[in-house]
Amino acid sequence: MSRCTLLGGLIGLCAFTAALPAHAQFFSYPGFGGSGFGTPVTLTLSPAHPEAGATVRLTLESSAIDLDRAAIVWLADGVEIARGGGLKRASVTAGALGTETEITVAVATADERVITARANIRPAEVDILWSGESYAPPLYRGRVHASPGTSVRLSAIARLVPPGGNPLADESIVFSWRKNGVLLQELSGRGRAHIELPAPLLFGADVVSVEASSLDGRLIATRSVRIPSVETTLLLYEEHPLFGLLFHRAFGAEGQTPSIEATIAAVPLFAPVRTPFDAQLDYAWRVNNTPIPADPADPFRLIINAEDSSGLALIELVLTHTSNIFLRSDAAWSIRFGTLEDGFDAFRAGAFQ
Amino acid sequence: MKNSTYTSLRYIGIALLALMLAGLAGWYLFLRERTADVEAGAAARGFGSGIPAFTGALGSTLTNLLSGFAIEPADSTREGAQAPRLWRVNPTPVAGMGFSATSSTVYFMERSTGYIFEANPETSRIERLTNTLIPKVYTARFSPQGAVAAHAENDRKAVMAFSGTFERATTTGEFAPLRTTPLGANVHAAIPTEDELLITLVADESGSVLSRAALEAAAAERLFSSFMRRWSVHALPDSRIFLAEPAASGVPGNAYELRDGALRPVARGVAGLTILPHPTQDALLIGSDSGTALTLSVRLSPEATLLSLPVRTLPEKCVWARESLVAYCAVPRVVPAPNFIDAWYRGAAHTSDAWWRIDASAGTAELLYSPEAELGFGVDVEHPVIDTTGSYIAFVNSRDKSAWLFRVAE
Repeated sequence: MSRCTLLGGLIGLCAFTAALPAHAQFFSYPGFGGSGFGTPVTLTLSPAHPEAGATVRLTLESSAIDLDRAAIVWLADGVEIARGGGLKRASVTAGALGTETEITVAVATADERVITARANIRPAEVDILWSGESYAPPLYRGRVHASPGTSVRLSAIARLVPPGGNPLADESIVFSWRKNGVLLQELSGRGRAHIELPAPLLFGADVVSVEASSLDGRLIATRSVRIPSVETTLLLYEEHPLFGLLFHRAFGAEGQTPSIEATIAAVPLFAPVRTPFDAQLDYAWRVNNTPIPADPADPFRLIINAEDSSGLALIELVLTHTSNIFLRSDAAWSIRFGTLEDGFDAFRAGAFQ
Repeated sequence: MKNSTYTSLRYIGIALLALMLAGLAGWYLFLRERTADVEAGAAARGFGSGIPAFTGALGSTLTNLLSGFAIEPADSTREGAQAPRLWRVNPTPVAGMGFSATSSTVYFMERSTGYIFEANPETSRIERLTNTLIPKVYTARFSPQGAVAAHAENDRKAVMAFSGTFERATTTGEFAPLRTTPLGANVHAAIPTEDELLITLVADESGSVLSRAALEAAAAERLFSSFMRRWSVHALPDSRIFLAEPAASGVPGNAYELRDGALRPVARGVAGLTILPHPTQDALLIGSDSGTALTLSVRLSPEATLLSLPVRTLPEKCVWARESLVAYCAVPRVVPAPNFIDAWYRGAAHTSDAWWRIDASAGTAELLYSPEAELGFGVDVEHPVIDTTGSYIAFVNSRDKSAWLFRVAE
């Protein structure tokens, strides 16, 4: 490909397109007829606000010109990227952040009119980070989800770099937040990169999007995330007197422990509290169908002694919240005490020292 | 009349006395039975062990713990000989492991006591180094010099972080105190680095702050602050720092390199994203848990395209060789159930892994060793670390938090 030569040779278009004024980026863009009277064509970019390195699909439309019978040439920064009769679509790769790519499309109609349209691609990016403000153990490695009654923290990480310039600081960016398509006027604005929203309703999900734009509107980036609402998950662990909570061994529906007497602890993962012993949580324990009153100081812990018994305990727990009607989690575990786990059997053999 | 009354009173008195004696005897028998029950229970729970003698290289605590778990201690008769290719260094839970800078000696911290040990795979010798008792240590990260940063539960059952250093005792059989510096609560990451610095991520109401400080120093340099409270932090030997959103199955996440206080993206919008940056090069392992399947990819440089690898595992089960584009990954032998990473983080799912050698530049993988096939049991690898020569990998078995060493080349 060479700059303008093919097109220039075909329809003498080079000088004409070079003389056209620069235009704003991205949006559907009208072209202007080259023979003295305007004929609207629309140049559309998809995505409308491309990121660095993204493939941008270019589409030319017109209600007045029969594009299928026209000769069309596509240029990116003056370099031909596609040509052909009726070639209404092309694609180009967006440059890096801080670059600008000028797209020009020239149309030679069947009646020998020449029409051009232009658009500029200035890549920009924004990410949305989010995390629920619910309970998770201090060393939990996973993402904290949001449950009903909690909130969600969102943070926009924007990378808007003017051509030839430095990345814009958050204070020079206007953030427009939307929840399920509705603009959050109070939370949006200049420098408003971080927001906190109520968690989605039970079993629901919210789509939160942000548009980050420079003050002059020439750089725009958008992003959206889907934030689900999760139920509080009850996990049951053994609390060993020497090792502490055995977070690596959550009891399944049927579990076993080598201990005859053991302290077990329930972890209300993603509950709308800061600690598992929050006074608003009500733990209703039952062991082998017998209600066990929770220790007010340690309601999420239970000591079970299986001596002089079959060793099998059916442990049931119902967790409710005094003011959050959405929280009602229940779970049951059948645990056999005084039984070595499978993992420990291998170690008893001592064969792998 | 008086005599008969007196006699009756005598009989009643004797009867009352007999009843009282019988009651006391019954109470005595009842108490004796209960005491026997309690003693039997205590014995069954391993509390009948004798007073620690504090002898031997291991110290008595480990031996007591092992007896409480019905686990045999390491075979002391092996000492002096090279350890087997897959060596269970410590059968009871450990908080973490790390190699020393100059050899294949590995440090580990006991979870129950906070004692630091070192194990030498060339001689199978395990030696206790410190004698500062710190119960319930959940995590520990070591620098090559032996400095440690850890999380432990205090008396009020709060998890607190601390850093620690020690000077090795000069006499064999002597232990050194661990000089600890409290780091406080809400420390989500504490990583000692090769250059004797400590990277910490501390959460507060406004978000989190990533700082760097000299070990045992009070003043810290603030590197980055964020509105988000939790990050997965990777602090590399060449001072690079990577931050990733905590992962969840099927939830898109982002990861960044921290440069001059700004975040430069290295992976964006990847479902169940976890990463493992190369310690000295630009290569990056990128893992995804879509909710239904695990995938592992590598990007050799920021400009390179993503190369899919032929193994399905998490970067958290991998470790890079220090000077080459080779990674060693523990790969589940059976495809994990859906939403694996969520279940794994919660201790609700475990894998049986085999060790694979990954040539990242070629995108190929080669099976090295399968504990299940070779020895008949599985290990669920987490927190793998590799020595400077690339000869040994130390890891924690997530099934029981025991400490293991794997010799790469046989």
